Amino acid sequence: MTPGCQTFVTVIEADGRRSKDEAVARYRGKPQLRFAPFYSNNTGRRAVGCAECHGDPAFLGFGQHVMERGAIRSTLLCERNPKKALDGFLSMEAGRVVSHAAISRAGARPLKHEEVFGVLAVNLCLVCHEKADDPIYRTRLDHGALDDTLHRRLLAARR
Amino acid sequence: MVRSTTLFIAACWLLGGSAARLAGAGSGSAETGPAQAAACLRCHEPARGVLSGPMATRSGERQFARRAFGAEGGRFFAGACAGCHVAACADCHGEDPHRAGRPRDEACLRCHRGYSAGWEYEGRAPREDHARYRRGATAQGEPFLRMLPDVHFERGMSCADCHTMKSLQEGKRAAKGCRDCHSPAASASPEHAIAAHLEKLSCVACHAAWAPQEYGTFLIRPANAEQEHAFASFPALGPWRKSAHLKRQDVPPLGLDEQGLVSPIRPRFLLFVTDPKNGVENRLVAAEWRAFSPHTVRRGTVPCGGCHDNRRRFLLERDAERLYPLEKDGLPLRSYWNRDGQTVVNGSFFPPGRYERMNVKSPEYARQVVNQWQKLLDHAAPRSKR
Repeated sequence: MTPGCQTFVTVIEADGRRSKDEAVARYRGKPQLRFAPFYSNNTGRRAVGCAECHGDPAFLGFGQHVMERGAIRSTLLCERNPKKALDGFLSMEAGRVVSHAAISRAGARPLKHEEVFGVLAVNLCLVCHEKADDPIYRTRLDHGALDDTLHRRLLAARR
Repeated sequence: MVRSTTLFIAACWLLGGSAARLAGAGSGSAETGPAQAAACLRCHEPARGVLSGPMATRSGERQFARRAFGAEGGRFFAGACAGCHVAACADCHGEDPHRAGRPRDEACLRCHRGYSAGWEYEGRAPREDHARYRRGATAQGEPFLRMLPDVHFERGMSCADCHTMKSLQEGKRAAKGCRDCHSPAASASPEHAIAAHLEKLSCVACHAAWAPQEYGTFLIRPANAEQEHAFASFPALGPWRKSAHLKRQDVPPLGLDEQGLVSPIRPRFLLFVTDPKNGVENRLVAAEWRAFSPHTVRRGTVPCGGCHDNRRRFLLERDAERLYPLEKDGLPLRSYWNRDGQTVVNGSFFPPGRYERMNVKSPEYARQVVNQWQKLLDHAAPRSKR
């Protein structure tokens, strides 16, 4: 996804008055910034690694951020609404994933809450099971496994 | 002559100011400053420390000028920066200091703005240089990019709460450090559970949420009308036009500060000079980084992977990992994020051996990674709002 488009409109009337001053353009009935999926024509042999994507919420659309108190907090902000990211379309407060920008291609959408947390939850496994061909990734991940005897013993040993 | 009569004007910006500010700031007090200061010092003798300190002497900038411009550095500095320094008490305290009290943040930010540390405290970052992007909200007469402010600013703290008059008089940067008010051991965060973090890292290495960074600062002196037109949208610094290759406002790279603690570092400056009339193109006159303390402190931090297994963060980028092949632009650096040919003037780059050791996946590391993500996932609400 790339910004497409984030349109701020200023209208200067004939008398010099600004009837609109950097107003966020309306899209699908409300003022909102837009992002669009695209195919980047810069394919290389090297791909991002598992941890680079799963471990960085910016990949999911949160923009640049810090993680604090159970939230992902954006650091680059929309100047018209400092509660929203300028470089992202998702935010999270009190555990809720919220989409705050439109996706401008038909059928395209941001990841849903459950999908976002599914991606992030892989980090619980990835720190030890680093390779994509690890058998645990052949089936749906069982995050409850962290509470099984084996994992509890491993985690306890690390204390 | 290429590096003497003209480059010093460009240093207005490089050394922390702008041509406009230099023309105005301090110029009035420069004439009356000594007399005013003398009157104040009769009762406020310790303030002499400020008037002979770095804000008055600008010793750091003088030294940069010497390093970048060699024997001509003194002239370079004198021509560029004579008007941009604290010359009198009134520069910060105003004309009626007994009524005004201690300086308000606004007085500090008149100089500590743009790429100078301070502006970011209130959530302001420098915009791009091109006129097209110099729009939106302004502060201190300059448009800014809106960023997440420092948590201390949100709580109502002002510059002088840490940077007290007494500390400045004694030649210190601040009266308080983070640990004078905060106890990291009292925190239950997974990152604080790792002893090496508390022993070897400055607090801002993790808690600085972002910082202005400028990768590649370019000065060009147009040689004809066509070139003048081509660069007309960039800020003028005397006969020069200034632009940046890349500005970023995210978490800065890490190195070691003068105390040997892991600290944020940023370019100050990676300076290229082009003067077509004299056959100079993209001459690298400085490739310097500085350890610094971004005033963008937040309770949180980047995930573990923001530092671990992140070579670029420590200026260890390999050729195969580069996205910016600088040599294709004719630049004498292969990468901004590779330390080769660059230096940290008030510290050092993070030792490669230590980098390798910090990326060994110890059991304790694995456990804390799980803890960090579990902490976030535990806050998951059952449904998303669309």
